[in-house]
Formats: sequence, C-alpha cells, structure tokens
Amino acid sequence: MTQVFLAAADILLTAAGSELALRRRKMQTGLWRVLVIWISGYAAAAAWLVRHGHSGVVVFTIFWSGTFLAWFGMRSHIESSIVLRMLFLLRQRPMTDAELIAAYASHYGEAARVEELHRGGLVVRGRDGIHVTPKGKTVLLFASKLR
Amino acid sequence: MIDMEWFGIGAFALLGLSFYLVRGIRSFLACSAALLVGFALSSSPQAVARPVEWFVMMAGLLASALGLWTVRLMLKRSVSLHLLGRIDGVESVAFHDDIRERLNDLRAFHLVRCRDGRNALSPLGQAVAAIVAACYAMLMING
Repeated sequence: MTQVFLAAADILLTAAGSELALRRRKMQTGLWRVLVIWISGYAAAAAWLVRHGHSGVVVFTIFWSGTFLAWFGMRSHIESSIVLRMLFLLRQRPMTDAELIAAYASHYGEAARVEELHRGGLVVRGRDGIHVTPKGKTVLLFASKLR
Repeated sequence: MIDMEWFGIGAFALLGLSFYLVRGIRSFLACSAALLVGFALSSSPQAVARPVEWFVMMAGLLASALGLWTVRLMLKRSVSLHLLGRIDGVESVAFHDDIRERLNDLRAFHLVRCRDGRNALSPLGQAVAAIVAACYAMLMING
C-alpha cells in the first residue's frame, strides 16, 4: 500500500511540475519540457522500487503510462477545446451565433493560432506568405497516419 | 514476472495496436472495453491474491484507453491541425466552418438553449461551464 501512495504522490508532483514547466504555454509548444518531467518522475519512482526490492515495476509502469496518456489528453483538451471555451464565454451573457464566434475569434482566432504554430516551429513566415516547416510536415504526416 | 503482469503488458500493447488500426471513435471505445474486460477476466484468479496490484493495473489500462480516446478526438477535430494542413495545401476546411461546427455540438449536447435568437447556457451547460472555469483557474489557462 505504501508503494501505491508513493506512486500517487509522485504522479501528483509530476503533474504539478508539468504545470510549472508549461507556465501559460500551450501544450504544443511546451511538449518537450513536459515529457522530460514525466520521464524524470517515472525514472525516480522506478529506481526507488528497484532499489527497495519491490516487485511492482511492471504494474507501476502500466499505471504511469496510463496516467500520462490520460493527463496529456485531458490537459490538451481542456486547453484547446472550442466547445469548452464557448461555454466559458457564455457564462458572461447569452450571445447570438455571430457574437459568440467573434468573441471566440478575438480570444483564439486564426491569427493567434498561426502565431502559436509559428512559436512551435511548425510554420515560418516568408516574403511570399506562410509556409509549413519540415517539423510541421512531420506533425501532419504523423497526424494523418493516426486520424 | 507473474501472469497478471504479462496480461497487463499484453492488454497495454493491444490498446496501442487498436489505437493505430481502429480509426472510428466508437469502434475504438468498443475495442478498449473488450480489452479491459479480457484483462479483467484473464487475471481474475490472481486479482483475489493481489487485489491492490490488480486494481492499480486496471486503473492504468482504463486511463490509457481514456487518454488514447481523447488523443484520437483531438487528432480528428483539432482546428490548429486543420489550419496547418490548409497552409500546407492538403486540407480545405475553412477556419470559420470549423468554429461554426462547434456551435452545433453545443446544441446537440444540450449545453445551450436558444432564447430570443441568443445562445444561453442550459442548466447542464452552466454546470459544465463552472467546471471549465475552475479548470482554467487551476491550470493557469488564460480565461
């Protein structure tokens, strides 16, 4: 049972550390920082289990992987979901479709998204417009294989 | 390693494989549920002897399925990915069409109701919006 509490504490600390590492960055631009923190958290806990002769490394690895995937999915979804953002905007007052779209676009419209893609190194601005970088093309290829 | 751990590794690997092979969201959910039930049944004899390990592994597999399902949803619906594809010339979905589609989702999930031509939060929408506001504050997401 001690191992379970330690694993839970380690995961909570890692999730909190990820938030500090992101510090208002979007997940798409802070993913590497987050990965480093989660891998470090896993390595520390797994090393502790091995050093103290516990047998639960496999169980812990599956639990850790699942927790990371769930955290990553939920965190990214909360951060980028348009539906959730619209619900948040509608807390202020009821809006027509056009007002709601305009309110959303002023918060995270096309220009802001292009800027975020630029910060993430996925697009570059040239004299003749915006172009997708090799990194951006890799992301697109990866996404097309998994859609 | 005990059998339960091998079953857990197998279930985890199969979840990953089904994420790659099964593209439909409902089909993936059905596959995940079948895999979790399969793991639960195959490992049930050892669950009595090692209930804590069994529970932790089950929770890990459930969290994996939930995480992969969310990632699949994002891959299919991400507006930024569509935008990136449009800049690259491989997609044609207009930015505002993507946004407008979400308005239909709000209505389909009964999160808003139309009043005098305006969208107002339904009781369910108010509850979800309150949770969203709390999450934004907790995760320091610009509100």
